[in-house]
Amino acid sequence: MNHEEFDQFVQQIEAGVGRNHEALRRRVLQWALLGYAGLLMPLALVVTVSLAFIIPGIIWISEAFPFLLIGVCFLVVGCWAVANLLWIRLAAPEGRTVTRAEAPALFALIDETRQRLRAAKFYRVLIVPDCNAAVSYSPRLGVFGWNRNYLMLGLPLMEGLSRDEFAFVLAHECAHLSRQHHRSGQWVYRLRRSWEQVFAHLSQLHHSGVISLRPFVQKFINWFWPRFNAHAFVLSRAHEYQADATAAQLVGVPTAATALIRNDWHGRVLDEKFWPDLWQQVADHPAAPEGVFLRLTQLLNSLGVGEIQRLEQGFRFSTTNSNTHPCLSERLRGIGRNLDAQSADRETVLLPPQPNSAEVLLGPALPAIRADIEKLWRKKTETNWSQQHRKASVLQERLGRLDQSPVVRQEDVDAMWDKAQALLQLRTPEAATPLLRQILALAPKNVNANFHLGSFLLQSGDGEGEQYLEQAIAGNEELFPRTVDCFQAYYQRTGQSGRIRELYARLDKYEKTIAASRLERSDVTAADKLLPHELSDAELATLCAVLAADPDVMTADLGRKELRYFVEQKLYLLCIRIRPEWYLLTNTDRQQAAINRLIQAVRLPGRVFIFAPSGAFRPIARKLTRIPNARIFSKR
Amino acid sequence: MPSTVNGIGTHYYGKRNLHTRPGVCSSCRRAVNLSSYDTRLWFVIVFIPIIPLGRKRITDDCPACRRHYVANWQKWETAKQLEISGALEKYRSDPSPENALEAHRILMVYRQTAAMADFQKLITEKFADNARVQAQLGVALTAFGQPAESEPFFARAYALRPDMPEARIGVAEGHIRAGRLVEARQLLDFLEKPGAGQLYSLGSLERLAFAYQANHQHTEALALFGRLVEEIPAVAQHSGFRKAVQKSEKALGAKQSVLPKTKFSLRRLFQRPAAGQPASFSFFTLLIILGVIGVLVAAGLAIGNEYIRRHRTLFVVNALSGKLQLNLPGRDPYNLTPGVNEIKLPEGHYHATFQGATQESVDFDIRATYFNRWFDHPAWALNPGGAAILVRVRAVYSENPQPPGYDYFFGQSFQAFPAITHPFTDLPETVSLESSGETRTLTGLALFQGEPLELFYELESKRQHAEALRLAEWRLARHPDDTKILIAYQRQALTFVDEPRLEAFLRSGLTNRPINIEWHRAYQDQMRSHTNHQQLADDYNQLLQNDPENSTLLYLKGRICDDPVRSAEFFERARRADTNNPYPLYAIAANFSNHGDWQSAKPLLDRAVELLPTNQDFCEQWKLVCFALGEFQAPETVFRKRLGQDPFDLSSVNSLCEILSAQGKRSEADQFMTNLGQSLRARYPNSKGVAPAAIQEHYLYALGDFTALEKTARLDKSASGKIALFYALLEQNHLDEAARIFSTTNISDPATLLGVSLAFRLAGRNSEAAQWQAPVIEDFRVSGADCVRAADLLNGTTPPAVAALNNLDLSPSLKAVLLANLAVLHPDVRDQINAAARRLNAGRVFPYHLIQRATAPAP
Repeated sequence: MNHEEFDQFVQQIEAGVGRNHEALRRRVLQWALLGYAGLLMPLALVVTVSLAFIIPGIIWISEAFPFLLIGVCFLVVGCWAVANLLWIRLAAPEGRTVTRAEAPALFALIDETRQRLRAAKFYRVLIVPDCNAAVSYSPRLGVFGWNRNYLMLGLPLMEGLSRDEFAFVLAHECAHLSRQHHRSGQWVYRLRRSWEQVFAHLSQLHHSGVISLRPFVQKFINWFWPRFNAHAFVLSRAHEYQADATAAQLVGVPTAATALIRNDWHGRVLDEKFWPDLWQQVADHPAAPEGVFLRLTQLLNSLGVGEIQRLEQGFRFSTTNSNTHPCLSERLRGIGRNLDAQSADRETVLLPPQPNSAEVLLGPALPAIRADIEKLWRKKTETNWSQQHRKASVLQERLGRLDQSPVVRQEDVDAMWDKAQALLQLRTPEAATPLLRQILALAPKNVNANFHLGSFLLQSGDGEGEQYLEQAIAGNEELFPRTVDCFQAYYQRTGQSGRIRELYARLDKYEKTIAASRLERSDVTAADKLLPHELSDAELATLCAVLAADPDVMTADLGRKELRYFVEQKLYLLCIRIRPEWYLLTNTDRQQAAINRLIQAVRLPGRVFIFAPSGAFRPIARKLTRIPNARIFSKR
Repeated sequence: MPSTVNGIGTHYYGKRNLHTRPGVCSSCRRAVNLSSYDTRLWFVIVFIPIIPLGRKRITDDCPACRRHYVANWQKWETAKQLEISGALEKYRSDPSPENALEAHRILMVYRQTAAMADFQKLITEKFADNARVQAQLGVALTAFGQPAESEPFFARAYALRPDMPEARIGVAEGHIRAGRLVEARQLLDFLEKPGAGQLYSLGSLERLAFAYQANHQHTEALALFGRLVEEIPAVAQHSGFRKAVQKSEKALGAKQSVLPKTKFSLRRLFQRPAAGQPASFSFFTLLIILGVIGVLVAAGLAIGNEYIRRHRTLFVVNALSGKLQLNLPGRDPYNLTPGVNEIKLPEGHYHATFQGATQESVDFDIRATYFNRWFDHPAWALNPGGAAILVRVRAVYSENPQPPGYDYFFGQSFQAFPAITHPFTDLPETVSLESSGETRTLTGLALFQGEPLELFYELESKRQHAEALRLAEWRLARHPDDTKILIAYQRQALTFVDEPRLEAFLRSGLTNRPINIEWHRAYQDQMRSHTNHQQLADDYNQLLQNDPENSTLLYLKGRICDDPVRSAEFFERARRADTNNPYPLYAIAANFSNHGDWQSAKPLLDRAVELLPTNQDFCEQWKLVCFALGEFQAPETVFRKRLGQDPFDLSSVNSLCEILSAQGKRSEADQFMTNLGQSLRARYPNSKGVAPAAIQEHYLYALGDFTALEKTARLDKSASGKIALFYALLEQNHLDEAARIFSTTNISDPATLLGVSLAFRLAGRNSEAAQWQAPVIEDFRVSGADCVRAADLLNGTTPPAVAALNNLDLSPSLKAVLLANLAVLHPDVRDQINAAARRLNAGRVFPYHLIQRATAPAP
């Protein structure tokens, strides 16, 4: 199911069963049961086949004992295969565990929120390096659930929000586990989240040569997951609104609004500014610098009008079906925050919270927790940082060689692209931009230069990038999927939600047509519609001359296959008949030799398929003869 | 992939457009020359192509494992032309280096060697100054298995752009192949930089390291291996790489290895070796695979064995009449039906109790060893009361089958039988064997359905005398009234001189109540033959003391009295004590018969036979009396009636033959014998359709047809045939031949000995007659008073008084032959003695005709 189909499906559900929340919940439950049945199918299959051997083996043990052995072996191997398939160990989320003794204020807030919302208990409370808060459902039994609920609280999030704003975020997460809502709804919400991880795991390619039931299960998942997900998606999105509303009721709408705005803004600043700037240091430092999270805190505390552009971008984002969370403006609308109030909220968030929720809730443990989080982050990024640093040194060396190369100085496009590529990897895209522009001045169609320059410009919010990307796609249509993210981010930032829909429609069309067009252009059958060749007289004369020069060709028919995709391209069919032998039968060797000669000699403005009217090609030849003016050459 | 079974299946024939290239098989991972070609798939029979199944394009056919890619030829040809023409057209319309390289790639993919060479030439010239095109052409040729041809392209590219990594690598590869390793290393210096693995493939560096190693430059090789491990830590887990590193380290004597420890990986054990590496199907891998298979098989065997252990069959063979219930602890009671009952039980020790027809407790074990569960076929049989006889049949199936062997089991309440292939099921008539020399043995267990007496005789015939006696004792212990088997038992015991056993067994039944007369008679006969008269008398005195008016005991006491008068008194007292007791009547009648008073004996025997018609002795005596009195109608009627009830009652058959012979009804007798033969054939299809030889011989003797008797007897090789021949020869006066058949030591019956003596005496051969007479006299001397008197008479020289002869208390047949001998010895009183002898000579058995001849009145 492609994006467009998924979107349409979601729309259908929203317009249909989604209008009745209870009916939707029931439908999702049915899908969930079907999912379990499908996942248990391999086990049922194994047990059934095994019993088919074991039962006769037991009944007629003396005569059919080998059956018993086969059955037992099949059962053991089959159960092992099923267990191997379904027993998925998802790694528990990583983070710094905080205890009640360490952060009593935090736990008091959690307990209070949980009690007020009648939410389930958390197995662990983890502080993580992300600017986010989430409940992670780690199923003990893989696809069969029995979750452990981890509450993950991002340290940057806590340091960017006030205590009350953080209470809103916490309440939102607790609302997902709340018993105030329909229990099965909660279950579906969690199921979707855990199945999302499990199915992602199952969809990974398996090792070739390894006996696995995964291909069968993957087929089922490919059919089942989009359908279940579409239903559960609608339910889950409704759930997000519900969670926001519940949390806003708890802390008050203004606080909820500032929490949502601040969280969105901080996330963007960190993703687009803080972390990229940090990773720019990789070329110069063999290890990540110290005090990253302290710097991060300082940045969040110093945010102001300087970053107002990124604050505004958040309001321009629109909701897509790639995330169950609605966009910022819709979430604000969802909690009843009108546009006037939103303007006031923007003013509010420009002032950093004093004190922030981390200081209030973590108290004296904050420095130690921050140090641990930094340690955790360093551990996670250590290898990558080191690799990137080593790579940078090689790139540096390569750049040095290229700088010394005379061809670069001679404005050799290929060498210039090599240098640009090194710069792109070593530094920022910005550093390579002059060189990319230089390349495009020399070779305006250069696909790589167009692609990278276009991507960088769109990322920087410069609409000029669109035309470069389109130029790159024109040069190599297969680049289109790689440009989608750049386009989408740009449209999101600029609030062009309509263009996003167009983009996804284009992507779907591309995915659909690229495979079909490849197939269409690489095969010819008698079922294809054939057209007159429409060659000019000059082209035809050239072709006839080639045919006349061949000693064996007696007649030739020419036509064209009608193409449904990329209609500007041509696909010609040339059917030749060769002089028969004295015994009046065709010498296939001579026939194939003539075809091979012609393949090299014939030049037509498109693809050409040259064949003789024999074997499977006979029906195509017959069809070709019925085309007007198909006979272009005859020695008779 | 095409495949054939015994030459039938699918097969490729023909190879066109063959192209080979060195490469790694994607299936077996071997570095081989992969071939691609056009062919045709055929359905073949005995590898002869029969039906064409279409043209195929084979790609990358591995000569080692034969795996390949296959495509429909037409589809492949179509795609090939369209892709190539499309790429070339694109290049023609936009002759950029990228399009040139793409067209070249397509030509290479479709193995268009000639077209590729032309196109290569074209673009080489056109893009002579484009280092990228030159380098990519070199890369393409290398991938196409033409490294030598790629070298000029790399050289050109390197000349144009010495910084270009692809060109440097290509030129360096050429140096490596040429053994110029220093030059190669200089060109590949950028690959040795830390982090180079992030940007470039380090394959060339690895090849350089191996080249150094092959060149015994281990220091350089090890340095490069170290770099590879630093850049790609995973390579250190590769067995082939590790071996190479270890080789160099060993050559250098390095104490510290650049290799980390190997991580254990189960998956690696089952992975195929990488290209260029020898198959690393190590012994350890083999062990693991065998171990896994072994564990699975062992688990399966254990489950199967356990199932067998838990589902054993106990056969309960119920030969008792009446209801019977089996109780096993922890289980519901089993109501047993007559015959074989099957009960499934796990192996173990059991305590079974029977209620109903027998009250019995049996402890038994159902057990087998692990391997016996698979290979043996044990059967466990519970035999309540030990009442059933089980028969084990062992049949050897072969081209020339032998008769099956039978073993019989009785008297034990529980028995375990090893190796029973057909427990309580019929053995198959035939089995299929692989070869003519093969044999197969099947063993069945069954419930013996016949009479114990039949089995007794079968055991006897097999000379299993001890087993026959045990059977008789087992039977008599349960059925003391089975007279037939009692008689057979007694005879068998005496024959094989196992008298202590016989006496002990019979004595044990004396106190049984009600008194079994036949049992006592057998005991008395046994004891009297031992001259152990006093003990016998004491036994019965004691019994009578306890029950003085018991008719049976009085009769039995009369039987053992040496004094005929006292004996007659006891018989009379017995008759008075119980007028319905046939035995005293029979005893009194016997006394009358011994003295030739047939008239007096007749009514008594009539009554005795009426009271106990099944008693064989009564019938025989009654028949004798009837013969003596010339009354044939009554016995004929009686025996015909009996034969009507049981046509195969051999005793009645013999009696009827005698009666018909005595009446001179030969044709009727012959017809009867013919009918008997037909009846036997109807019942036993394998019989010859004639009456058994013994019956025929009996009949012929009764008839007096000694020629026919001799003829029949000579054909009959059995013991009875031998005796019949002996009689026939004696009756026909062929005494010398007869004497060659039996001597005096072979015969113990006094009547027969005296008969032989009479025959010799009639022939005037007195010395031989005396020889045959001697054992009788000897025997008589140790018997009763009448016997002693008879011995004296035979030895006497003075003619005996006829009255004294009449008083002798001997059986009529013995007395008749004794008198016939005395008549020959004492011609003076010959007529009187002959008359007495003829009066007593009634039974139609040897030496009836001899006596008749000897005592015939002179003409």
